[in-house]
Amino acid sequence: MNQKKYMLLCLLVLVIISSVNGQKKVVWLHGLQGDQTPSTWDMYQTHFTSTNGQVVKYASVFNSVKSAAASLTNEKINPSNQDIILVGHSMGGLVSRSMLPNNSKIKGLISAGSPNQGSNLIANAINGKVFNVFETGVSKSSVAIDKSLTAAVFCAPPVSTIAAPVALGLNAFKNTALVGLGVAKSVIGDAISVYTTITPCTQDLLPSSSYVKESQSQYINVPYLNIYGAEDYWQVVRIAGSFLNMDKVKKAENMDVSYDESCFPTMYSALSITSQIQTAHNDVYQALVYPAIVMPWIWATRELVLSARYDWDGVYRYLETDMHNNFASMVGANAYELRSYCVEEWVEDDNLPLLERVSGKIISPSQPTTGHWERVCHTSYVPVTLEHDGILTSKAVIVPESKGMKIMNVRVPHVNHQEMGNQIEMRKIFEKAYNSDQYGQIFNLLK
Amino acid sequence: MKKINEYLTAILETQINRLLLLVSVIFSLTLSSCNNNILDNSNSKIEKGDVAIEIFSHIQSANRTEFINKNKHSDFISDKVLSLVSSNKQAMMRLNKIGANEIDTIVSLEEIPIYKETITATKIYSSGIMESEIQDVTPDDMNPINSFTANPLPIESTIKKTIIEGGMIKSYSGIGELIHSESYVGQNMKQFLDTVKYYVALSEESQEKKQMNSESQLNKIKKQKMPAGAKIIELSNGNVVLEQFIETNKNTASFSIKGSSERLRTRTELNPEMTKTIKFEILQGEQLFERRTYFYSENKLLKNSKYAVNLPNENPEVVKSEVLVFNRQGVPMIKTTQERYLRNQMIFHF
Repeated sequence: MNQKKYMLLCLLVLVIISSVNGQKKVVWLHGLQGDQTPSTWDMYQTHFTSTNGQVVKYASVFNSVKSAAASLTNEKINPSNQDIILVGHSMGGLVSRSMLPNNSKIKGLISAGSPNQGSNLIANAINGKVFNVFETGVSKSSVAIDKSLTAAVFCAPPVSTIAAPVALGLNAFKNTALVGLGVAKSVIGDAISVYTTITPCTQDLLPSSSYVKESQSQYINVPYLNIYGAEDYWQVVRIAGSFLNMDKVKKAENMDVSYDESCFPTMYSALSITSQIQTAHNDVYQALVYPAIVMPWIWATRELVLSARYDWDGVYRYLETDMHNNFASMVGANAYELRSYCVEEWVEDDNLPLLERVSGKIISPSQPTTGHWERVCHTSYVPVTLEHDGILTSKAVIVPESKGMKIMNVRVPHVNHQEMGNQIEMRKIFEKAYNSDQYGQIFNLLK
Repeated sequence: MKKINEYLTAILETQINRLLLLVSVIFSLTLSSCNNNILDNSNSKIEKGDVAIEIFSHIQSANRTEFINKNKHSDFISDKVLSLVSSNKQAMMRLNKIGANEIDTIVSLEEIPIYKETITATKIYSSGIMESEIQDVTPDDMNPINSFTANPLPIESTIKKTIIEGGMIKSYSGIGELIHSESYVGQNMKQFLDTVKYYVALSEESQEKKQMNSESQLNKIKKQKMPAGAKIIELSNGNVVLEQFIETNKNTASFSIKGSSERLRTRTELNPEMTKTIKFEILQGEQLFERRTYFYSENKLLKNSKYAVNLPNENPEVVKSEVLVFNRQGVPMIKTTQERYLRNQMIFHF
């Protein structure tokens, strides 16, 4: 090698070394249970060399946030002693914040779905209330099934043959909604099982913990991009879908695939079949009038069929609306607001007490009844459901932008807590955070 | 950690499995002992035949579950109920509440009524094949509850129509798109059809005989063998009350107050001709559990085709129902359902 070529090679090496040293390294921190293998986060390592990025693991479950942070020394996560940007998902974001005071090489923070204000879901997992959401669904369904069975007195013809459409619907419901609720409870239960145990980590994540209180006054002295997911309707169904498909989510080839709607067919199935059951009850109710005229003891059975239908109305309502609001309240995504609202109520045209009207004293049963639906308005404090990602509310993630701190809270729609960090939208945000100035000063500083 | 996970999962699965097993056992017993004829309803290959029965309904309804109030629900309040109410602060506050205009706090969204309007049509063919269509025609802005959430279910994800046909159940969204489809193991309705036909004929015959001989329906019923413990009471206005006990599954009994061993009984008040229900109640001892009252009108869409001429059978126009239920904390509440039927009738083609 001649001297000129040797000089050129040395210059190239110097340029490479200086550029590497000037580049910030991205250090990725998983959330609770992310240290288990395989982890969703393992796939990230394939994108980095040892100098531009690293996924680090820490014992998450039986560690407090601070002790987890203490275990992640600069020597361990940053052997090349570069400037680093920490990217943390969920609990990893809190660990990142706790690492800040002890590592001067940290030049920026990015966190996604981190419970900066604590997690209500953990509190409700520890006290067991979260499972009531599914148990209530199972209980309402069981009551409705019980009423249908009581009503149909299936084994006594002619009711048994006339009630056949109801039996059919109940059987289908058992195979869809009831199994679906059981699976949801099991999947969510499995996913958050660690929360149900009081460990140093879960204690730290409680909204009332001393860790959370202390972190409120932490001065974050580096630019901080704080991302929170905003999932659409039926968040519990979406999060259950992601949890149910965790084995697929963890595979690198599925990095940009969303599984959050994979449980929607079960919900639709449950609702469709419940509709069919409601209709079947009404059909049976109508048809039973004929045997009842011949055998009047069937009148009561017929009435029990209608009672059962009202319970199925309640099951439909729970599956479509109330269950999701109840789950939101477990996440802490509810607040009381004073609202004026109007609802439809049936009002008789005269104001006679109902019992007098039907006793036959005031009007005979064959007389026409006049009445109308009236919009009756109320003003009440009502529980409203706030935005959440299936595990955390937006409010629990957002860090108030205090004076002097460079904090940007970014909302990412259509992403649930579990998807965060491995879905395409989130990766775009990370990439923008690192490579562009789209979000202004924060990202410029992070670059 | 893995062990903890496995352990907890096992516990949860056991609970779910217990429930599913219980339900499965009930269903297996029910279905096998009744010898119902369940078929894979890949009915397209079978000749449907002519339409034998059509069942139509158009229902407007509102339902809610509210705390017990002395003014509105006095008949449901017993000492036992009162003691259960007094164990809950919110329930106690509502017990004596007067007037709807006071500002209060809704504890559970179930307290807010949901209004629903549904149109259904069921066709049963002479072969026993059944088809049905269920349409949710509730106007979009009718339910304030939908505005109480940051992200309500959008119209394109809401089921607005369900069709059961050709061994499939299909659901369509508010914008008419197919959003769900699955095979639906249909049941051949031949037995249903034959039974209804038989009793329609029998009830017509009984009505004809009744017109020919002057013996009242009540006297005829009195001669029939009555279920054990059953009673017939004739009221001064001519209405007839039938009282009888009902059997419930002890393992999953949905009615009754804890600790009470008295049997449940029904009280059905019928018109003097005993062709329609005026009032229905379920009681345990003297404790009222359920009360339903009926209102009738001359709307022809509420009369079945076999009774379109002189016979008085008709379906109600308005049904008001109140049921004593217990929430998860064991607090007694009243589930109210109000329904108005714009149409409710069976059309027979035989």
